[in-house]
Amino acid sequence: MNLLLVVFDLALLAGLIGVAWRCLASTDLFRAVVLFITFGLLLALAWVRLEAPDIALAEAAIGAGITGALLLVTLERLRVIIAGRRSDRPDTVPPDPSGPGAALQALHDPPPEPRTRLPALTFALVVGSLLVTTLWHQPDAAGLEPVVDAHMDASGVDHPITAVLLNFRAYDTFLELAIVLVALLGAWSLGRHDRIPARPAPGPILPGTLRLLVPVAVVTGVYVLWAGSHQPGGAFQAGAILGAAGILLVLSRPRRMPPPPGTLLRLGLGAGVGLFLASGVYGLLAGHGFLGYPPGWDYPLIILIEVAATLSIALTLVALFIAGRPEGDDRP
Amino acid sequence: MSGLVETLAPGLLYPTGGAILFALGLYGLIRRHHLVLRILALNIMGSGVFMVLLGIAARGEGPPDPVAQALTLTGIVVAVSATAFALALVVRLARLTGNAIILPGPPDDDAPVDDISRLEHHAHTEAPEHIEPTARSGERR
Repeated sequence: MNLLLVVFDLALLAGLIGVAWRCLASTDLFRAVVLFITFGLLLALAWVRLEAPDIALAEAAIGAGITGALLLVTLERLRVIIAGRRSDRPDTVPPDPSGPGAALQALHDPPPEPRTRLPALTFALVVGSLLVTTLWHQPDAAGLEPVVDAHMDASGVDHPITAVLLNFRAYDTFLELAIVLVALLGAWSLGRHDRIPARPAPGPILPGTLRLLVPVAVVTGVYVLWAGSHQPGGAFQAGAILGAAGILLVLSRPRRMPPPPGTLLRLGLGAGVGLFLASGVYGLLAGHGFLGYPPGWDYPLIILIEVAATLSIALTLVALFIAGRPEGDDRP
Repeated sequence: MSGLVETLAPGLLYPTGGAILFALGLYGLIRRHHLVLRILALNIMGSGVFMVLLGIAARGEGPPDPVAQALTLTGIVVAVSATAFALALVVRLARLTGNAIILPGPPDDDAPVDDISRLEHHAHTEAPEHIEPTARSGERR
Protein backbone atom coordinates (compact mmCIF):
# COMPACT_ATOMS: atom_id res chain seq x y z
CA MET A 1 0.00 0.00 0.00
CA ASN A 2 1.73 3.12 -1.08
CA LEU A 3 1.03 6.28 -2.93
CA LEU A 4 2.73 5.12 -6.12
CA LEU A 5 0.36 2.16 -6.47
CA VAL A 6 -2.65 4.44 -6.01
CA VAL A 7 -1.31 6.68 -8.77
CA PHE A 8 -0.86 3.59 -10.97
CA ASP A 9 -4.41 2.42 -10.23
CA LEU A 10 -5.89 5.81 -11.02
CA ALA A 11 -3.88 6.12 -14.24
CA LEU A 12 -4.85 2.61 -15.35
CA LEU A 13 -8.55 3.19 -14.64
CA ALA A 14 -8.46 6.57 -16.39
CA GLY A 15 -6.80 4.89 -19.37
CA LEU A 16 -9.39 2.09 -19.45
CA ILE A 17 -12.32 4.49 -19.26
CA GLY A 18 -10.74 6.80 -21.84
CA VAL A 19 -10.06 4.00 -24.32
CA ALA A 20 -13.57 2.58 -23.83
CA TRP A 21 -15.03 6.02 -24.44
CA ARG A 22 -12.99 6.60 -27.60
CA CYS A 23 -13.98 3.12 -28.80
CA LEU A 24 -17.70 3.70 -28.35
CA ALA A 25 -17.60 7.26 -29.69
CA SER A 26 -15.75 6.30 -32.85
CA THR A 27 -17.57 6.55 -36.19
CA ASP A 28 -14.99 4.36 -37.92
CA LEU A 29 -15.55 0.73 -36.98
CA PHE A 30 -12.00 -0.38 -37.73
CA ARG A 31 -10.71 2.18 -35.29
CA ALA A 32 -13.28 1.10 -32.70
CA VAL A 33 -12.11 -2.52 -32.96
CA VAL A 34 -8.44 -1.57 -32.61
CA LEU A 35 -9.31 0.51 -29.54
CA PHE A 36 -11.28 -2.43 -28.15
CA ILE A 37 -8.23 -4.70 -28.48
CA THR A 38 -6.18 -2.05 -26.65
CA PHE A 39 -8.88 -2.01 -23.98
CA GLY A 40 -8.54 -5.77 -23.54
CA LEU A 41 -4.77 -5.54 -23.07
CA LEU A 42 -5.12 -2.74 -20.49
CA LEU A 43 -7.73 -4.87 -18.75
CA ALA A 44 -5.25 -7.75 -18.49
CA LEU A 45 -2.93 -5.32 -16.66
CA ALA A 46 -5.74 -4.45 -14.25
CA TRP A 47 -6.33 -8.15 -13.51
CA VAL A 48 -2.65 -8.57 -12.64
CA ARG A 49 -2.99 -5.65 -10.25
CA LEU A 50 -6.01 -7.35 -8.65
CA GLU A 51 -3.92 -10.49 -8.00
CA ALA A 52 -5.73 -12.51 -10.63
CA PRO A 53 -2.99 -13.80 -12.98
CA ASP A 54 -5.27 -16.56 -14.30
CA ILE A 55 -7.81 -14.02 -15.47
CA ALA A 56 -5.05 -11.81 -16.89
CA LEU A 57 -3.78 -14.73 -19.01
CA ALA A 58 -7.29 -15.50 -20.21
CA GLU A 59 -8.08 -11.85 -20.90
CA ALA A 60 -4.92 -11.29 -22.96
CA ALA A 61 -5.45 -14.48 -24.97
CA ILE A 62 -9.25 -14.54 -25.27
CA GLY A 63 -10.55 -11.05 -24.52
CA ALA A 64 -7.98 -9.16 -26.56
CA GLY A 65 -6.58 -11.81 -28.93
CA ILE A 66 -9.40 -14.09 -30.07
CA THR A 67 -12.19 -11.51 -29.77
CA GLY A 68 -10.04 -9.05 -31.72
CA ALA A 69 -9.46 -11.56 -34.51
CA LEU A 70 -13.19 -12.37 -34.61
CA LEU A 71 -14.09 -8.68 -34.82
CA LEU A 72 -11.54 -7.93 -37.55
CA VAL A 73 -12.64 -10.83 -39.74
CA THR A 74 -16.28 -9.81 -39.24
CA LEU A 75 -15.51 -6.26 -40.40
CA GLU A 76 -13.83 -7.65 -43.51
CA ARG A 77 -16.81 -9.94 -44.18
CA LEU A 78 -19.26 -7.05 -43.76
CA ARG A 79 -17.21 -4.89 -46.13
CA VAL A 80 -17.18 -7.57 -48.82
CA ILE A 81 -20.90 -8.33 -48.41
CA ILE A 82 -22.09 -4.74 -48.40
CA ALA A 83 -19.77 -3.66 -51.21
CA GLY A 84 -20.92 -6.68 -53.22
CA ARG A 85 -24.57 -5.78 -52.78
CA ARG A 86 -23.97 -2.20 -53.77
CA SER A 87 -22.22 -3.22 -56.98
CA ASP A 88 -25.27 -5.36 -57.85
CA ARG A 89 -27.35 -2.22 -58.06
CA PRO A 90 -26.57 -0.25 -61.21
CA ASP A 91 -28.20 2.95 -59.94
CA THR A 92 -25.77 3.35 -57.05
CA VAL A 93 -22.11 4.27 -56.92
CA PRO A 94 -19.36 2.97 -56.42
CA PRO A 95 -19.00 -0.45 -58.02
CA ASP A 96 -15.38 -0.94 -56.89
CA PRO A 97 -15.56 -3.25 -53.85
CA SER A 98 -12.10 -2.28 -52.61
CA GLY A 99 -12.66 1.43 -53.08
CA PRO A 100 -12.92 3.79 -50.13
CA GLY A 101 -16.58 4.42 -50.79
CA ALA A 102 -17.48 0.79 -50.21
CA ALA A 103 -15.43 0.57 -47.03
CA LEU A 104 -17.04 3.76 -45.90
CA GLN A 105 -20.54 2.40 -46.16
CA ALA A 106 -19.85 -0.91 -44.51
CA LEU A 107 -17.47 0.12 -41.78
CA HIS A 108 -18.93 3.43 -40.78
CA ASP A 109 -21.56 4.30 -38.24
CA PRO A 110 -23.11 7.76 -38.52
CA PRO A 111 -22.77 9.79 -35.33
CA PRO A 112 -25.83 9.40 -33.07
CA GLU A 113 -28.57 12.00 -33.20
CA PRO A 114 -28.31 14.72 -30.53
CA ARG A 115 -31.88 14.16 -29.33
CA THR A 116 -31.00 10.79 -27.78
CA ARG A 117 -28.11 12.22 -25.80
CA LEU A 118 -30.00 13.50 -22.75
CA PRO A 119 -32.18 10.44 -22.03
CA ALA A 120 -29.28 8.03 -22.60
CA LEU A 121 -26.95 10.12 -20.43
CA THR A 122 -29.52 10.33 -17.62
CA PHE A 123 -30.19 6.62 -17.72
CA ALA A 124 -26.51 5.65 -17.73
CA LEU A 125 -25.71 8.15 -14.96
CA VAL A 126 -28.54 6.87 -12.74
CA VAL A 127 -27.51 3.22 -13.24
CA GLY A 128 -23.83 4.05 -12.72
CA SER A 129 -24.31 6.07 -9.55
CA LEU A 130 -26.66 3.46 -8.08
CA LEU A 131 -23.99 0.83 -8.71
CA VAL A 132 -21.25 2.97 -7.19
CA THR A 133 -23.25 3.75 -4.03
CA THR A 134 -24.14 0.09 -3.57
CA LEU A 135 -20.56 -1.04 -4.04
CA TRP A 136 -19.13 1.56 -1.66
CA HIS A 137 -21.40 0.43 1.13
CA GLN A 138 -20.68 -3.27 0.83
CA PRO A 139 -19.11 -4.74 3.97
CA ASP A 140 -15.67 -6.28 3.67
CA ALA A 141 -15.90 -10.04 3.61
CA ALA A 142 -13.32 -12.72 3.14
CA GLY A 143 -15.67 -14.41 0.67
CA LEU A 144 -15.20 -18.11 0.10
CA GLU A 145 -11.41 -18.03 0.30
CA PRO A 146 -11.16 -19.69 3.78
CA VAL A 147 -13.60 -22.42 2.75
CA VAL A 148 -11.67 -23.20 -0.44
CA ASP A 149 -8.40 -23.10 1.47
CA ALA A 150 -9.71 -25.57 4.06
CA HIS A 151 -10.70 -28.11 1.43
CA MET A 152 -7.71 -27.83 -0.90
CA ASP A 153 -6.32 -31.21 0.17
CA ALA A 154 -9.53 -32.89 -0.99
CA SER A 155 -9.45 -31.30 -4.45
CA GLY A 156 -6.65 -33.30 -6.05
CA VAL A 157 -4.82 -30.19 -7.34
CA ASP A 158 -2.68 -27.49 -5.74
CA HIS A 159 -4.02 -24.37 -7.47
CA PRO A 160 -7.16 -22.96 -5.84
CA ILE A 161 -8.72 -21.68 -9.08
CA THR A 162 -8.29 -25.00 -10.87
CA ALA A 163 -9.73 -26.70 -7.76
CA VAL A 164 -12.80 -24.42 -7.90
CA LEU A 165 -13.21 -24.78 -11.66
CA LEU A 166 -12.85 -28.54 -11.96
CA ASN A 167 -13.84 -29.84 -8.57
CA PHE A 168 -15.78 -27.55 -6.22
CA ARG A 169 -17.76 -25.80 -8.94
CA ALA A 170 -17.38 -28.35 -11.73
CA TYR A 171 -21.04 -27.84 -12.57
CA ASP A 172 -20.37 -24.27 -13.75
CA THR A 173 -17.45 -25.34 -15.88
CA PHE A 174 -19.42 -28.19 -17.40
CA LEU A 175 -22.27 -25.87 -18.37
CA GLU A 176 -19.77 -23.33 -19.67
CA LEU A 177 -18.28 -25.89 -22.05
CA ALA A 178 -21.83 -26.69 -23.15
CA ILE A 179 -22.48 -22.98 -23.84
CA VAL A 180 -19.34 -22.77 -25.98
CA LEU A 181 -20.54 -25.77 -27.98
CA VAL A 182 -24.06 -24.33 -28.33
CA ALA A 183 -22.63 -21.02 -29.60
CA LEU A 184 -20.77 -22.93 -32.30
CA LEU A 185 -23.89 -24.91 -33.21
CA GLY A 186 -25.74 -21.60 -33.47
CA ALA A 187 -23.11 -20.18 -35.79
CA TRP A 188 -23.13 -23.37 -37.87
CA SER A 189 -26.90 -23.29 -38.15
CA LEU A 190 -26.61 -19.97 -40.00
CA GLY A 191 -25.13 -21.72 -43.02
CA ARG A 192 -22.00 -22.95 -44.65
CA HIS A 193 -18.90 -20.85 -44.18
CA ASP A 194 -17.57 -18.63 -46.91
CA ARG A 195 -13.90 -18.22 -47.63
CA ILE A 196 -12.11 -15.85 -45.32
CA PRO A 197 -11.99 -12.60 -47.29
CA ALA A 198 -8.70 -11.10 -46.15
CA ARG A 199 -5.68 -13.00 -47.38
CA PRO A 200 -2.10 -12.01 -46.67
CA ALA A 201 0.16 -11.24 -49.60
CA PRO A 202 2.23 -14.27 -50.64
CA GLY A 203 5.87 -14.19 -49.64
CA PRO A 204 8.52 -16.06 -47.69
CA ILE A 205 8.07 -14.16 -44.41
CA LEU A 206 4.70 -15.49 -43.33
CA PRO A 207 5.39 -19.23 -43.81
CA GLY A 208 8.78 -18.82 -42.13
CA THR A 209 7.31 -16.99 -39.15
CA LEU A 210 4.54 -19.54 -38.86
CA ARG A 211 7.01 -22.40 -38.91
CA LEU A 212 8.64 -20.81 -35.87
CA LEU A 213 5.54 -19.49 -34.15
CA VAL A 214 3.11 -22.41 -34.28
CA PRO A 215 5.37 -24.98 -32.54
CA VAL A 216 6.17 -22.38 -29.86
CA ALA A 217 2.44 -21.74 -29.40
CA VAL A 218 1.73 -25.47 -29.12
CA VAL A 219 4.49 -25.97 -26.53
CA THR A 220 3.30 -22.90 -24.59
CA GLY A 221 -0.29 -24.12 -24.70
CA VAL A 222 0.58 -27.57 -23.41
CA TYR A 223 2.78 -26.07 -20.69
CA VAL A 224 0.04 -23.67 -19.57
CA LEU A 225 -2.38 -26.61 -19.42
CA TRP A 226 0.07 -28.67 -17.37
CA ALA A 227 0.94 -25.76 -15.08
CA GLY A 228 -2.74 -25.26 -14.27
CA SER A 229 -2.73 -27.94 -11.58
CA HIS A 230 -0.31 -26.05 -9.33
CA GLN A 231 0.01 -22.45 -10.56
CA PRO A 232 -1.87 -19.96 -12.77
CA GLY A 233 -2.89 -21.58 -16.03
CA GLY A 234 -5.35 -24.22 -17.10
CA ALA A 235 -7.66 -25.46 -19.81
CA PHE A 236 -9.16 -22.13 -20.90
CA GLN A 237 -5.90 -20.27 -21.27
CA ALA A 238 -4.27 -23.24 -23.01
CA GLY A 239 -7.27 -23.64 -25.29
CA ALA A 240 -7.10 -19.96 -26.23
CA ILE A 241 -3.38 -20.15 -27.04
CA LEU A 242 -3.83 -23.27 -29.19
CA GLY A 243 -6.91 -21.70 -30.79
CA ALA A 244 -4.86 -18.62 -31.70
CA ALA A 245 -2.25 -20.85 -33.34
CA GLY A 246 -5.06 -22.55 -35.27
CA ILE A 247 -6.48 -19.20 -36.40
CA LEU A 248 -3.03 -18.16 -37.64
CA LEU A 249 -2.78 -21.36 -39.66
CA VAL A 250 -6.26 -20.94 -41.12
CA LEU A 251 -5.57 -17.31 -42.02
CA SER A 252 -2.29 -17.94 -43.75
CA ARG A 253 -2.85 -21.17 -45.67
CA PRO A 254 -6.57 -21.54 -46.29
CA ARG A 255 -6.17 -23.19 -49.68
CA ARG A 256 -3.47 -25.75 -49.09
CA MET A 257 -4.88 -27.00 -45.83
CA PRO A 258 -7.38 -29.81 -46.34
CA PRO A 259 -10.41 -29.57 -44.04
CA PRO A 260 -10.40 -32.14 -41.25
CA PRO A 261 -12.77 -35.09 -41.64
CA GLY A 262 -16.22 -34.14 -40.40
CA THR A 263 -16.62 -36.95 -37.89
CA LEU A 264 -13.20 -36.33 -36.33
CA LEU A 265 -13.88 -32.60 -36.11
CA ARG A 266 -17.21 -33.17 -34.37
CA LEU A 267 -15.62 -35.65 -31.97
CA GLY A 268 -12.97 -33.09 -31.05
CA LEU A 269 -15.52 -30.32 -30.61
CA GLY A 270 -17.65 -32.43 -28.31
CA ALA A 271 -14.80 -34.13 -26.43
CA GLY A 272 -14.72 -31.67 -23.51
CA VAL A 273 -18.44 -31.76 -22.76
CA GLY A 274 -18.67 -35.49 -23.50
CA LEU A 275 -15.86 -36.54 -21.20
CA PHE A 276 -17.04 -34.19 -18.46
CA LEU A 277 -20.56 -35.61 -18.71
CA ALA A 278 -19.30 -39.19 -18.76
CA SER A 279 -17.22 -38.69 -15.62
CA GLY A 280 -20.14 -36.87 -13.98
CA VAL A 281 -22.58 -39.67 -14.72
CA TYR A 282 -20.03 -42.24 -13.54
CA GLY A 283 -19.69 -40.33 -10.26
CA LEU A 284 -23.48 -40.34 -9.92
CA LEU A 285 -23.74 -44.10 -10.50
CA ALA A 286 -20.78 -44.88 -8.23
CA GLY A 287 -22.36 -42.92 -5.39
CA HIS A 288 -20.15 -39.82 -5.33
CA GLY A 289 -22.85 -37.51 -6.66
CA PHE A 290 -23.12 -35.92 -10.11
CA LEU A 291 -19.66 -34.64 -11.18
CA GLY A 292 -18.10 -36.15 -8.05
CA TYR A 293 -14.77 -37.94 -8.46
CA PRO A 294 -13.99 -41.32 -6.90
CA PRO A 295 -11.43 -40.93 -4.07
CA GLY A 296 -7.86 -41.04 -5.33
CA TRP A 297 -8.98 -40.56 -8.94
CA ASP A 298 -9.52 -36.82 -8.76
CA TYR A 299 -6.12 -35.74 -10.09
CA PRO A 300 -5.99 -38.06 -13.16
CA LEU A 301 -9.63 -37.33 -13.98
CA ILE A 302 -9.13 -33.56 -13.68
CA ILE A 303 -6.10 -33.72 -15.98
CA LEU A 304 -7.99 -35.90 -18.48
CA ILE A 305 -11.01 -33.57 -18.52
CA GLU A 306 -8.72 -30.55 -18.84
CA VAL A 307 -6.94 -32.06 -21.85
CA ALA A 308 -10.26 -32.79 -23.56
CA ALA A 309 -11.61 -29.33 -22.66
CA THR A 310 -8.46 -27.65 -24.05
CA LEU A 311 -8.82 -29.53 -27.33
CA SER A 312 -12.52 -28.68 -27.60
CA ILE A 313 -12.05 -25.00 -26.73
CA ALA A 314 -9.19 -24.59 -29.21
CA LEU A 315 -11.15 -26.30 -32.02
CA THR A 316 -14.33 -24.37 -31.21
CA LEU A 317 -12.54 -21.02 -31.26
CA VAL A 318 -11.04 -21.78 -34.68
CA ALA A 319 -14.44 -22.99 -35.93
CA LEU A 320 -16.11 -19.83 -34.61
CA PHE A 321 -13.48 -17.78 -36.43
CA ILE A 322 -14.24 -19.60 -39.68
CA ALA A 323 -17.97 -19.27 -38.82
CA GLY A 324 -20.19 -21.72 -40.60
CA ARG A 325 -20.15 -25.42 -41.28
CA PRO A 326 -17.10 -26.85 -43.05
CA GLU A 327 -16.99 -26.87 -46.82
CA GLY A 328 -17.95 -30.14 -48.49
CA ASP A 329 -19.97 -31.13 -45.45
CA ASP A 330 -23.34 -32.13 -46.77
CA ARG A 331 -24.93 -33.45 -43.66
CA PRO A 332 -27.97 -31.52 -42.45
CA MET B 1 -1.97 11.31 3.22
CA SER B 2 -2.05 7.75 4.54
CA GLY B 3 -5.80 8.15 5.09
CA LEU B 4 -6.24 8.97 1.42
CA VAL B 5 -4.13 5.99 0.38
CA GLU B 6 -6.22 3.81 2.69
CA THR B 7 -9.45 5.10 1.15
CA LEU B 8 -8.30 4.51 -2.43
CA ALA B 9 -7.53 0.83 -1.92
CA PRO B 10 -7.90 -1.38 -5.02
CA GLY B 11 -10.89 -3.06 -3.37
CA LEU B 12 -12.78 0.20 -3.63
CA LEU B 13 -11.17 1.82 -6.67
CA TYR B 14 -11.66 -1.04 -9.12
CA PRO B 15 -15.34 -1.77 -8.34
CA THR B 16 -15.97 1.95 -8.88
CA GLY B 17 -14.11 1.80 -12.19
CA GLY B 18 -16.12 -1.28 -13.12
CA ALA B 19 -19.38 0.54 -12.40
CA ILE B 20 -18.24 3.47 -14.57
CA LEU B 21 -17.32 1.10 -17.42
CA PHE B 22 -20.72 -0.58 -17.09
CA ALA B 23 -22.52 2.78 -17.32
CA LEU B 24 -20.31 3.83 -20.24
CA GLY B 25 -21.10 0.63 -22.13
CA LEU B 26 -24.80 1.13 -21.43
CA TYR B 27 -24.63 4.66 -22.84
CA GLY B 28 -22.89 3.40 -25.97
CA LEU B 29 -25.36 0.54 -26.33
CA ILE B 30 -28.28 2.98 -26.32
CA ARG B 31 -26.82 5.60 -28.61
CA ARG B 32 -24.91 3.75 -31.33
CA HIS B 33 -26.69 2.06 -34.22
CA HIS B 34 -24.13 -0.17 -35.88
CA LEU B 35 -24.55 -3.68 -34.51
CA VAL B 36 -20.80 -4.32 -34.26
CA LEU B 37 -20.48 -1.21 -32.08
CA ARG B 38 -23.35 -2.45 -29.95
CA ILE B 39 -21.58 -5.77 -29.47
CA LEU B 40 -18.47 -3.83 -28.41
CA ALA B 41 -20.60 -1.85 -25.95
CA LEU B 42 -21.99 -5.08 -24.47
CA ASN B 43 -18.47 -6.45 -24.11
CA ILE B 44 -17.37 -3.30 -22.30
CA MET B 45 -20.35 -3.66 -19.95
CA GLY B 46 -19.28 -7.25 -19.34
CA SER B 47 -15.73 -6.16 -18.57
CA GLY B 48 -17.16 -3.70 -16.04
CA VAL B 49 -18.98 -6.55 -14.33
CA PHE B 50 -15.79 -8.64 -14.25
CA MET B 51 -13.93 -5.70 -12.74
CA VAL B 52 -16.55 -5.33 -9.98
CA LEU B 53 -16.32 -9.06 -9.22
CA LEU B 54 -12.53 -9.16 -9.11
CA GLY B 55 -12.29 -5.87 -7.21
CA ILE B 56 -14.58 -7.17 -4.48
CA ALA B 57 -12.68 -10.48 -4.45
CA ALA B 58 -9.46 -8.56 -3.76
CA ARG B 59 -10.91 -6.75 -0.71
CA GLY B 60 -9.76 -7.42 2.81
CA GLU B 61 -6.72 -9.23 4.09
CA GLY B 62 -5.23 -12.38 2.66
CA PRO B 63 -5.35 -13.84 -0.85
CA PRO B 64 -8.30 -12.94 -3.12
CA ASP B 65 -11.44 -15.07 -3.31
CA PRO B 66 -10.76 -17.91 -5.82
CA VAL B 67 -14.47 -18.57 -6.40
CA ALA B 68 -15.04 -15.06 -7.78
CA GLN B 69 -11.94 -15.44 -9.95
CA ALA B 70 -13.10 -18.80 -11.31
CA LEU B 71 -16.52 -17.27 -12.04
CA THR B 72 -14.87 -14.45 -13.96
CA LEU B 73 -12.76 -16.91 -15.96
CA THR B 74 -15.95 -18.77 -16.88
CA GLY B 75 -17.55 -15.44 -17.75
CA ILE B 76 -14.75 -14.45 -20.15
CA VAL B 77 -15.06 -17.69 -22.12
CA VAL B 78 -18.86 -17.40 -22.25
CA ALA B 79 -18.52 -13.77 -23.37
CA VAL B 80 -16.25 -14.67 -26.30
CA SER B 81 -18.64 -17.46 -27.40
CA ALA B 82 -21.64 -15.16 -27.22
CA THR B 83 -19.71 -12.45 -29.09
CA ALA B 84 -18.76 -14.89 -31.84
CA PHE B 85 -22.37 -16.03 -32.22
CA ALA B 86 -23.61 -12.42 -32.25
CA LEU B 87 -21.07 -11.53 -34.93
CA ALA B 88 -22.21 -14.51 -37.02
CA LEU B 89 -25.78 -13.20 -36.71
CA VAL B 90 -24.64 -9.72 -37.81
CA VAL B 91 -22.93 -11.17 -40.90
CA ARG B 92 -26.10 -13.12 -41.68
CA LEU B 93 -28.22 -9.98 -41.28
CA ALA B 94 -25.90 -8.05 -43.57
CA ARG B 95 -26.18 -10.79 -46.16
CA LEU B 96 -29.98 -10.63 -46.03
CA THR B 97 -30.61 -6.88 -45.77
CA GLY B 98 -27.45 -5.28 -47.11
CA ASN B 99 -26.35 -3.52 -43.95
CA ALA B 100 -25.63 -4.08 -40.30
CA ILE B 101 -27.19 -0.95 -38.89
CA ILE B 102 -30.54 -0.72 -37.19
CA LEU B 103 -31.71 2.84 -37.55
CA PRO B 104 -33.91 4.18 -34.76
CA GLY B 105 -37.54 5.14 -35.03
CA PRO B 106 -39.85 5.31 -38.02
CA PRO B 107 -38.28 6.45 -41.30
CA ASP B 108 -38.70 10.08 -42.44
CA ASP B 109 -41.38 10.72 -45.02
CA ASP B 110 -38.86 11.61 -47.70
CA ALA B 111 -36.45 8.83 -46.78
CA PRO B 112 -36.25 5.88 -49.18
CA VAL B 113 -37.73 2.62 -47.99
CA ASP B 114 -34.78 0.51 -49.07
CA ASP B 115 -32.18 -0.24 -46.41
CA ILE B 116 -29.09 0.83 -48.32
CA SER B 117 -30.61 4.06 -49.57
CA ARG B 118 -31.94 4.74 -46.08
CA LEU B 119 -28.46 4.36 -44.74
CA GLU B 120 -27.13 6.77 -47.34
CA HIS B 121 -29.88 9.21 -46.52
CA HIS B 122 -29.02 8.94 -42.84
CA ALA B 123 -25.29 9.31 -43.41
CA HIS B 124 -25.84 12.26 -45.70
CA THR B 125 -26.21 14.71 -42.81
CA GLU B 126 -22.55 14.44 -41.89
CA ALA B 127 -19.91 13.65 -44.49
CA PRO B 128 -17.67 10.97 -43.02
CA GLU B 129 -13.93 11.28 -43.23
CA HIS B 130 -11.97 9.35 -45.79
CA ILE B 131 -11.34 5.77 -44.70
CA GLU B 132 -8.80 3.45 -46.21
CA PRO B 133 -9.97 -0.10 -46.77
CA THR B 134 -8.63 -2.38 -44.06
CA ALA B 135 -7.31 -4.97 -46.49
CA ARG B 136 -7.30 -5.48 -50.20
CA SER B 137 -9.44 -8.25 -51.41
CA GLY B 138 -10.11 -9.40 -54.90
CA GLU B 139 -12.63 -11.93 -53.74
CA ARG B 140 -16.30 -11.51 -53.47
CA ARG B 141 -18.99 -13.99 -52.97
